[in-house]
Amino acid sequence: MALTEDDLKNMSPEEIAELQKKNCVFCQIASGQVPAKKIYEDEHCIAVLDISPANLGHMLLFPKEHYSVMPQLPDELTGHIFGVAKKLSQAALKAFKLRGTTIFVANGMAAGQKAPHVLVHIIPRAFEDGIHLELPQNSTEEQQRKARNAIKAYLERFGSRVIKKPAAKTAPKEKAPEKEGKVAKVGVKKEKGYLYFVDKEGDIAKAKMARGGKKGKKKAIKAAKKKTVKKKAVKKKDTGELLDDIAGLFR
Amino acid sequence: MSDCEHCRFAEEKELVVFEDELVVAVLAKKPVALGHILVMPKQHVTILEQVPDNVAERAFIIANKVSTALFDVLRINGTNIIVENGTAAGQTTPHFAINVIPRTENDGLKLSWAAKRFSDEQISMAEMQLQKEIQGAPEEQKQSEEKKETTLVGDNELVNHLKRIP
Repeated sequence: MALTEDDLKNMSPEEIAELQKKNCVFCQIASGQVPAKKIYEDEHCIAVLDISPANLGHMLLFPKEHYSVMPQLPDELTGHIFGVAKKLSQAALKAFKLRGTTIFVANGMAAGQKAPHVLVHIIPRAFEDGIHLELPQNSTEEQQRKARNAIKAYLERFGSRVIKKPAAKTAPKEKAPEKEGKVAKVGVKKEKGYLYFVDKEGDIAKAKMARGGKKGKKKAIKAAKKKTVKKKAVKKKDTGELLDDIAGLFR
Repeated sequence: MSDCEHCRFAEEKELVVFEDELVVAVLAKKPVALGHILVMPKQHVTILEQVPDNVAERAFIIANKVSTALFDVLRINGTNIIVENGTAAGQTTPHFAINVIPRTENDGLKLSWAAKRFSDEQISMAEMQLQKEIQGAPEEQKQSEEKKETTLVGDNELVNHLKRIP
């Protein structure tokens, strides 16, 4: 089905995303519609041999879900993908007895990105292998210092909300058992659905539990899912304009 | 404090743009482009394979944030995220680092490669070798999650070689 410019203009962003996904060869590889030499696969990502390799064993690692550029990836997925990249790099070093790997991502056409799907290249490297990815110096430390404040301020602003989340995640886990332990020693009769703890005055206080003490595993999972959806939405707002720009290049 | 260039960079606070307990992001002293940033573990480790999983994941998440920041602050059209892992890959400082490099159209940087041709046998062989290594990995990991450090620092010839970067 051929689409005209007008068709594209009338489409909602969701419809365009859907169209991109349908035409994306990497999504087709992930779903098995297009064959590829699969090296690794799990729930979230897949790695295949690149069909135009820089070196023998050159792998492409990508998320199964369609994302155009890396800034769109949720943090958990970024972490997961690069955890896998580490394993693949290690596998390449061992398999080919090599002295190095290059891990390469291009975000945006200016950076050399050719397909609108996040791709992590893992390239086995040998000395004198004819690949030139040297990083020449083109700017100066003085100029860098000038750019620093703006970048730092941005990361601080962005960071306080987004970057520090993982730390908050682990904190409540540590607190909970501590509170339970203290109640048991005093011998207060525990009522179901309440959390007991020693308050500032040293008295035993109780607080109603959010779920009434029920261990709703399914609910918890659902809630967690909802959370991640919300997070995504928030992030999109922050970088939405920017991402639309980059993603738009491929339309 | 240290002989390592990157460890020293992490101490130079006027170059640091972000840091937490695990990783630090600093402006490169020899920038490929204005805004070139290195994201690295605070702990001195040479190659990716030695970086603990949680630190590696964190480092790449931060690299992604830095990349996003560069897009917005510098109004650029792209970023490259490059790891030179090992001397054969061009690594010159024995401290793992993720390069986040701002890109603009026609900036003159050539960060690409020509495709090489290999025979079907060569490709199948490479596929098998890689699959074998990957599938072998999970079991090994379970057994030696604690041993990992010792094996990496100890008798792994390959890693030792990579660590011998000047």
